[in-house]
Formats: sequence, C-alpha cells, structure tokens
Amino acid sequence: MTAPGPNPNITAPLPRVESRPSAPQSQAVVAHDLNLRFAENTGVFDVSMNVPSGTIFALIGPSGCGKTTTVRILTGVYKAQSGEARVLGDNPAEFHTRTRERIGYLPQQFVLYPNLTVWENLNFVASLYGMNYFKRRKRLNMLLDFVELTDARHRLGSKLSGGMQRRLSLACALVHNPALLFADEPTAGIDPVLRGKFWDYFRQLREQGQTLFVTTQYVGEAAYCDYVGVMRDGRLLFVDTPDGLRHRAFGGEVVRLVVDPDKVMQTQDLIQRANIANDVRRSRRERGLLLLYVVEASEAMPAVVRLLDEHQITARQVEEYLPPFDDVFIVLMQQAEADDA
Amino acid sequence: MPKSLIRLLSFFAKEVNEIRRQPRLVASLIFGPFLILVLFGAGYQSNQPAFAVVLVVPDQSLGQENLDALKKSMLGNFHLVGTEQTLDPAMQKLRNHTIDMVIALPNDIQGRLLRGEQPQVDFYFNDINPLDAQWIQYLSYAQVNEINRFILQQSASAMQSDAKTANAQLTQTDQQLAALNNSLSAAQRAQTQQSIRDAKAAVGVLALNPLLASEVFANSSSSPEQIRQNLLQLQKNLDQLDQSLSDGTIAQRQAEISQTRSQIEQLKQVTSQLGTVPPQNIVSPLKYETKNLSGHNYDLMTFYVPRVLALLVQHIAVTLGALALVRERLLGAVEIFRVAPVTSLQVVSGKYLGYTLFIGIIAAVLTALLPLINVPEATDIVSYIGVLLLLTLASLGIGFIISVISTSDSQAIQMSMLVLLFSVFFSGFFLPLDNFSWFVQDIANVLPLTHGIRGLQSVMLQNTPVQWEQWAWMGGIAAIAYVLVTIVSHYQFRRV
Repeated sequence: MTAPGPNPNITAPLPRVESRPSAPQSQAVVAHDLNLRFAENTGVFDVSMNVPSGTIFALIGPSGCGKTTTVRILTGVYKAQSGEARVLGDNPAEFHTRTRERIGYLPQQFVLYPNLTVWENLNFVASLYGMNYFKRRKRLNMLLDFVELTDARHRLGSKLSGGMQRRLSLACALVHNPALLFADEPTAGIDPVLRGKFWDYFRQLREQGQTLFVTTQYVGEAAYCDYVGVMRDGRLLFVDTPDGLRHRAFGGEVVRLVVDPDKVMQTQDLIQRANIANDVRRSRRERGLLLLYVVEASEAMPAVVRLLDEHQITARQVEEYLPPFDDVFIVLMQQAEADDA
Repeated sequence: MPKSLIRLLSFFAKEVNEIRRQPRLVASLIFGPFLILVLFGAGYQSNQPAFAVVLVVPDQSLGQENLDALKKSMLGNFHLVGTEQTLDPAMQKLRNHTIDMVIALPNDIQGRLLRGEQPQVDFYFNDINPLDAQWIQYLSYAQVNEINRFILQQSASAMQSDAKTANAQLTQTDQQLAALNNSLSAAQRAQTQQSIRDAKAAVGVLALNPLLASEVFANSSSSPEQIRQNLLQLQKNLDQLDQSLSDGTIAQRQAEISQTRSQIEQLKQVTSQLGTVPPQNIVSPLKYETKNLSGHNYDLMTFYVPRVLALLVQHIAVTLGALALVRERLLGAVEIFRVAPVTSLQVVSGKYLGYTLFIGIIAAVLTALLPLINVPEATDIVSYIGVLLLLTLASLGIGFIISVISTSDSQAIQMSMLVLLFSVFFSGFFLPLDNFSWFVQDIANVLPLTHGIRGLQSVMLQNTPVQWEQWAWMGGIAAIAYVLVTIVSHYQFRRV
C-alpha cells in the first residue's frame, strides 16, 4: 500500500504506535472512552481514537464486533452512554446543522428509493443537504461520472445491480462534497473488481483532502488505509498503520529465505545460533523455504547472506515478505484471545 | 431559496415522483372511485330487500276472485312464488331455505269476524339476520294493513249494496206508512205488513254491518252509538206497527207512525249518502302527500356521491399517511435522515405537501367527472375546496399517527383498514349517527369523514354554508395530529 501521509496521532487502549506526529495536525474524529451497552456483552466499550484529517481510517473486525455501532455513535445516530466524542470539532449527540452539512454517510444497506431513478435519488439527497437547485446539476453530473453511472442516470433504483446500488449510495454520500465521509462496510458483498474501484475512489477523495472513516470485514483492505483500528467484541484492540500492525503481529518484519531443501535444517540452525532472527520457521508446504522473523529486514538480509556465504550455502531467494493482512489479523486475534485467557 | 425550504420540498418532490412512477396506482385511485360510483348508481335496487313468499290460503278462507285480488295487493318486497292450502308443505320449503317467508291466512275470515273474533295472519321466516328480521316485522305490519284494507273494501262494497236495497225498501215503507190514516183493505194491510217486515230485515242487515256503526259515519249530530241505537229503535217501532196492523189498533198508533217515519227519513239520508262515497274512501278516508322544503329530490346515487367522495379522500389519505414513515423506517432511509441536516418537521411537512397535492389531483379529476353521472356541481367552490383540503389534512394526520406507531407496513395497512371499517359504521356513511348512543356519537366526531360528509353534503346537495362545527372539527383534528406526529417522529428520528 501507499505509505501514510502525515504521521498518526492515534490513541487506543492498547500500546500506541511508536510514530508520533512531527507537527500538529487537525483531527477529524476524536473519541475518548466511548461506551454504549445494548446487552451484557453487546455494544461498544471504552473506544478511544483520533483520526487525522485527510486520511483514510479503517475499522476492521469480525461481524458484530461493534464497527457499525461506533460509526453510528460518531454520526449522531446513536448516543453514547458515556465517554466523549468530537467529530469535526462538534459533539455528535448535538450536531449543529453546519456540522451535519460537512459529513457524508454511506450506510451498510442500500437505503435509497427503488421507485426513483438514479438521478432522482441523487437529486433528493442533494436537496436533503440544501444544495441550490440551479447549482447542483454540475456537481451531480460530475459524481455520476465519478461512480460511472452516467449511462444509468434514468434507470430506476430497483433496476440497478448490487454494485450499481453501492456506487449510487457512494455518490449520494458525496453529493454535498463532505469534509468527512463515514462509509459503513462500503465493499461488503460486491465483487473484487468493484471493491478495487471503491478503494480507488477513496484514495482520490483522500488526495482531495477529504477524511474517510471506513469499516470493513475484508481484512486485506487494511492495506489501502492510512490507519487501521482492529475491533473485537466491542473493544478497539489496536490502532496503527498497516505496517505497524504487521510489526505488532509478528514482533517485527519477516524475511523469506529459500535454500536447497537438503540445507534447510543446517541453515535454520546457523541462523538461530547467529542470533540474526527472533524466530526461524520452516515451511511445511514449500520445501527449502524458511521464514525469518526479524526486527529490521533491511539489516537482517545482508547478515543472512554473509552467514550463508561463510558456510557455502547458496541462498536462492532472500527478500522481505509482507504477510497478507488475513494472516496478520488472525495472529492479532489469537494474541488477543491469549491475553484475555 | 432557503436551505430549510429546499429540504422540505425534497420530500414533496420525492413523494410526487414515487407516486407518478406507479401509473396503475394512480389510475386505480382516480378511475376506481368513479367506476364504483357508476356501478353503485346503475346497480342499486331501492325495493330491496325482496323475500320469496308462499301464501297459505285454507279452502274456506277466500274465493278465487278474492284470492286473485289479494295477490295483487301483495307488497313489492314480497315475491309470491306459490300458494298452498295447508301450512306443512310451505313450512317444509321454509325450513329448507328454498323460500324466505310463509304468509298463512286464517280459516273462515268472514265467519269469525261475524262471531266477534279477530282472525290472525301468521308470517313465518327462517333468518338469523336481524336487519332482515326488522324488515320482515315492518313489512308484515304493512301487509296485514293491506289485507285489512282489502277486506274492508269488500265489506264496504257489500254494505253499499245493502244500503241501496234498504233505501228503496224504506222509501216504499214510508209511503205505505203515510197512507195508514185511511181505511185499509185486508190486502192493503197485508201488503203494508210485508213492507214493514222487509224494511225491518233491511235495517237489521245494516245494523249488523260494522262499518255503518263505525266512526266513518259519525258526525256532529249522530255518534256511532246513536246510529246503532236509532237502528234498533226503528226495528222496535216497526215491530209494534206490524203488531198493531195485526190486531187492528193501528189507528191508536199515530204517534209511533210519525216517529217511525221520521226515523226512516233519517236512515234514508244516511243510506243515500253511503251510495255516493267510493268504497276506498270509506276504508281509507284520508290520503297523504309529502312536501320537501329543501327543494331537491335527489336519487340515491346522487345522495351518496358526497359520502363516497369523502370516504375515498379519507381512505387514500389515511393509507398514504400510514405507509409514509413506516416505509422510510423499514427501508432504512431514516438512518440517512438522522445523519443529514434535515429535521423531522421538514420530513413530515414535505410528505404532507406531496400527498395533499396528489389527493388534490385525484379529487379534481373526480369532480370533473361527476357531471357525467348527473351529480350537481358545488356552487360554493371555495367551501368545496376548503372542505376537501381540511378533510385531506385531517385524514393524513390520522394516517401519520398510524405510521409512527406501526412497526411494519402490513400493520399500517391493517390499521388503515380498521379506520375504514370504523368510518363506514360510525361516520354516518350508511347508518344515521342519531341511531347511536351519545358516546358513539362523540367518538364519531374524531373521524374526519363524519365532518367531511356533512361539509360536502352542504356544498354539493343542500347549497347551504358549511357549519362552523365541521370546519372546527376537521381543522382541530388536522392540527392536533400534525403536532403529535411531528413530536413523535422527532424522537424516532433522532437519538436511539
């Protein structure tokens, strides 16, 4: 993924990311110890976070972990039982009209009108935000281009495919050019190609200076974000950059080393004794493959190569390995479970 | 344009667009009611209910001629499907529900009347419908009156015939009594005696006729009892004269002869008068005629047009209103409204505007079609529009209240249908409100339809101003419902 722009200033109940902002930056969302309990173990608990303006922030977690509830608290749909929140500097429980005009919301379900056309749905939402009748046309046309629905502008909502409905929802959420967009699982249930397009849209919006607060069940989408919050059972476990999460999961970086299969045992032993890596694991699926868990891959890789040269072992492949976020997420969840236990 | 107005109009435009996207709905709402009115006008039969009847006539009850005349006198509601001489076969048909009623005439009507009895006509039916039962009771009463009139007419005709005979006989007797002063031959005496006896018999027949001694012939100078007493006295005098002629003492009876002639003269006047009165006037001396001060004589369809129009406006408004907010909630759009800078007041007001415009179009089209079925146009068009507008707003209010308390669209529809049912029964649509207890009449006041019917009836049929109570009730219901809906939806739209 692309590297985060500004440094984060993100708080979470668990250890914070090490990087800190080098310069003060405005915060689009600030939350401190938010609580909303629906039942004994249902709701959100002690959620704290800071989301810098102009970034993409993703809340990731399994279904029912509290992502939507968090979004609803931050958009003013739900009122937190305790804790404080500031969204664009305003309290969500008592949003001023002007603050609402700066917020866009893409709900989880398609909630637009099946008997209205694409244009009429868009036009209706534009009116909800009080956009001038005579000045909105250009904006609506531009948005339809942006979400590639220009040709379907006269089609009824009920006649749209699932992907088109999601794109229409996105266009409606952006119709008033919001400074902050809350998108609740925008890519749920749509095909990978369209998912890719959505993230392209989001990156474009970020480039334009807008802040995006996105929830997703697709752990791999964390790679597209500047900051990621991991939720489980209503609690925000970690908030970090994508790279930071990998570090957190594996205790550092991962180096992929491939040698002759008959040299694997010897290589593993050498590296462990040389104390280059925190851990060395053999792959059961691919013969000759070793995964080295190191603090810094850039420092560890030359040392490994030197060590193997000294013992006349040929390294067929040495490179930094970026584990998929699915793996990262699984490891993080396992760690959380272990901590709970 | 202010943003708040743009937001309000967003719902107005949205509702109008959504409705116009459903052409079948629009067509059914506009032309459906019109077709219902046409069907009602073309198909309504005002002589309902009709009952299939078997008449039971015992052998000695009536002659064939009288029976035919009786059948002709049957009320239009009784459809005579057969005649039986005994009760059992007719009752079997009634038990099998192949007929609706059995009318059983008594045996020997005339003889029993002469014996001083009051014979009874039995009406049998086999029905659980209380309205039918009420109709049958009323129609039975009316039918027995018809039969009684028929019998009385027969009796009156017979009496007129008897009176004519008696009049001729009395004239002859009077002439012979006048000649009694002269010396009589034996033949003349016998002829006079026979004349006296014939007159006595004719007077006896008259005395037995109940009509003669009835109030019908009573006047200021002679009461029914006096007439009867005079007849009896005349009979007694004629007896004495007969006896005097027999025993040769007639010369000493001059005073009685004079008194008898005077009585005969009176009776001749009465019998002579009887012949000039038609039998139906003797039986039904008074006739009637109704005069309607309203100056209008509408047919049933025209009378019901304002009611049906009001009912349709209320039902459409209640249904649209009932679905308005519950549909937004089910669709999930409320979540967007909660985040957007839009207030519940704008949402509710915008929807009110959209639905009011839509119902206004339907009402305008229906109004334009009414002359096609000969329904008079309202002369006070401002009041007409005012009543429809307030009826729409009040009905929308009821619908929106349903919408804020319903948790599903089927529940909203069900409650709308309950309002419809309640309105049909308790708004005066079919049954006059005066027929209900006071507390039901009070409840009926909270129905917009109650006042819509009265208002439209005033401007469409009576050409009179709409009563202020109607304006006040409809305006009050509309205002209270609007405030209530706005407050409740405010809490529903905001925090959870």
